[in-house]
Amino acid sequence: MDLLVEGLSYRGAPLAVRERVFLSGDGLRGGLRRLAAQDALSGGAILSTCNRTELYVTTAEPERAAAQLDAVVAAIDPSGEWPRHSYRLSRERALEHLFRVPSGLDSAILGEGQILGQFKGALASAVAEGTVDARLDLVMRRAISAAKRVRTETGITRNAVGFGQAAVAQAREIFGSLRGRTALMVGAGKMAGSTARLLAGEGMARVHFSTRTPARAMELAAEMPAGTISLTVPFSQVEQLAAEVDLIVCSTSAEDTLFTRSMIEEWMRRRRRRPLFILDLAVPRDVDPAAAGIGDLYLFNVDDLAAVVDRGLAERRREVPAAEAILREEIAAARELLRRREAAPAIAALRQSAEALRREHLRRHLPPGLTPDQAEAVERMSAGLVARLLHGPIAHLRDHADDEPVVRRLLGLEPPPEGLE
Amino acid sequence: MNPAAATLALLMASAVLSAACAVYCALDVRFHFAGFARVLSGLFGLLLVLQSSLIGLQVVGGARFSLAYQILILTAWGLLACSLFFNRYLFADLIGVLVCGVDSALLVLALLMRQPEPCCPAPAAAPGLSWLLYLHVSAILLSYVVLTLAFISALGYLLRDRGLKSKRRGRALDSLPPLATLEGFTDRFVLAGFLALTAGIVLSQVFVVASHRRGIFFDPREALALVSWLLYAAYAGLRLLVRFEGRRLALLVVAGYATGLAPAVVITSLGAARPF
Repeated sequence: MDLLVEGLSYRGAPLAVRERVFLSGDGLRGGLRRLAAQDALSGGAILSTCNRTELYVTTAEPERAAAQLDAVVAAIDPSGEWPRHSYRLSRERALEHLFRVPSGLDSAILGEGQILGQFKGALASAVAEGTVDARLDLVMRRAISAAKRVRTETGITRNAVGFGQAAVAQAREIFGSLRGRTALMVGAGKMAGSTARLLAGEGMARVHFSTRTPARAMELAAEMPAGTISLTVPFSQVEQLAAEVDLIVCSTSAEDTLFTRSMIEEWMRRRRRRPLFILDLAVPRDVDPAAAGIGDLYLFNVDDLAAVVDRGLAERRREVPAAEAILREEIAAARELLRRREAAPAIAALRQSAEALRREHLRRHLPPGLTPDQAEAVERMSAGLVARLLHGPIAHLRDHADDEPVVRRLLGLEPPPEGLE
Repeated sequence: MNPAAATLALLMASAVLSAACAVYCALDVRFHFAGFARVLSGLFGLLLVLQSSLIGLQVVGGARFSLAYQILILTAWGLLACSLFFNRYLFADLIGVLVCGVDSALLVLALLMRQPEPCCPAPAAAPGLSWLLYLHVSAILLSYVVLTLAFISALGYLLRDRGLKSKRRGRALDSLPPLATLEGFTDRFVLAGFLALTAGIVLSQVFVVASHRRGIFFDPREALALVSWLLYAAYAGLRLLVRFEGRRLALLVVAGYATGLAPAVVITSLGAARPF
């Protein structure tokens, strides 16, 4: 039984193509049904995200399956551009790829977390449509548990690799948990909005918004998660609030410095030196850079965050060998399970056939008038004899599943069932 | 094996193991050993057993060593016990280096200061008041241990603060707990240590007055303890009354330890303190 991967990703396909072949909802269900309709495919699943669309299939007839996959792909992307950007992997390479994807090793942002959820979603959709066979199900589930191991046993997801994440990571280094903390957002840039959402998502108690246009402040405030109180305040109140909040994010489009060193020194005095984290995302900067020297004030600008992101990526890259070692282990284990599973139907058929033969001969040759003890002794002896005789062939089948057709022919067993399971 | 030889063997084993733990913590900064916290917990447990055996030998073995030796051993034991108790945070690499470094320094000092001398000559001077002396020594020992932890926590705060301000980072600094956590620990340790130190100083003066001895300023150790007490009192006042926060308080804790308690331990160890 072969595993095939047919797909395209951010590595070779432009965004315009990826957008066109992105499948969700009815489109995804339609794609899965098309896979199920192909008689050369035993099982199939589709993973479709903003960075990749991939078809995972199992087949006993790789050549016919390849032709049928082309037909499915042509239905997904009628423009005919798919083959120009796609890749097709089979057997070992397909298996390795299937394990690398959910663990984030093949992601545009190394170790990113969303892909695992998307991969689980792909399996769930395929299970719901009944298109997954036992082998594909086993491989995908093993790939998910391998990805979880990679995430918990290595630091591949540990460091921030986005500006918002970097801001949250810096805030955590100062305050530990952000639960119950308060923030003030000055300005309403796009980056400030996403940073505010991430910070509020950490359980902040209150977020104050102060912008030139109150409508935009209210719009941002409305986007905050439940559990976080969001308030809009006029700019005149910013100085008063600055002495109270734990964190300030500045992102105005002002051309001059809004907050000078002396202003911030006054805030710190009023705060009784309680640590303050200021994130200056504005260009030109809203906060006087000289304020960075004030004790207990932690001032970060976009360059500082970029450095945090670079460092995070470098740290993640350092974890790749450890992650790959885990994947090698998991792939070897999955391969072994697959091998045993390949042989399972033949072993079951062999056992059934031998058992039927044993019962037939007992019925035919057992003399009447045996006591229960004698009958039981003959029963045990015949069962033991059959088990001993089958031990060699079964052990051979477990280790050499490829010999299954030969064993079936030699012992006159039925051929295995075909098609989607 | 006679108790003195057993004590020497245990003391040397403890000192070497403690130094090895410090090196292990320092190396973890670079190599990130698998199961670091678990291994270090085991090593700390082993150290605690060794040092408990030292104390046990002192109590039941009949070996008599100097007061300085006993103070140092009890301080080292208390430091380890508290570190194990707070292991979730104190096993950060840098904190581990500091705890093990201080612990092995205390053990080396104990090794040097273990010459025999009468354990507690107080009963001879004031036979009815020896319980006061025991209470005083217990309170002071407790304060040494807890304030040593406060010092380590405050030092961690200052290192973390420097790392965040300079934005030059490294695995060692990243392994430290967040500033707020370190500040919380410093707070609790200082307030507990301050209470114990206050009790220790008051008890010593009660003992001195009750046994008709001289006042506090003739003993450099007591004078230093008073300087420390004043700095810690300033910390407690600023923290509890003014609600002051930040690195200046951490500096105050480090100053309190550096100017008062650390020299007091050394003076005690060198036997320069006024005998009771």
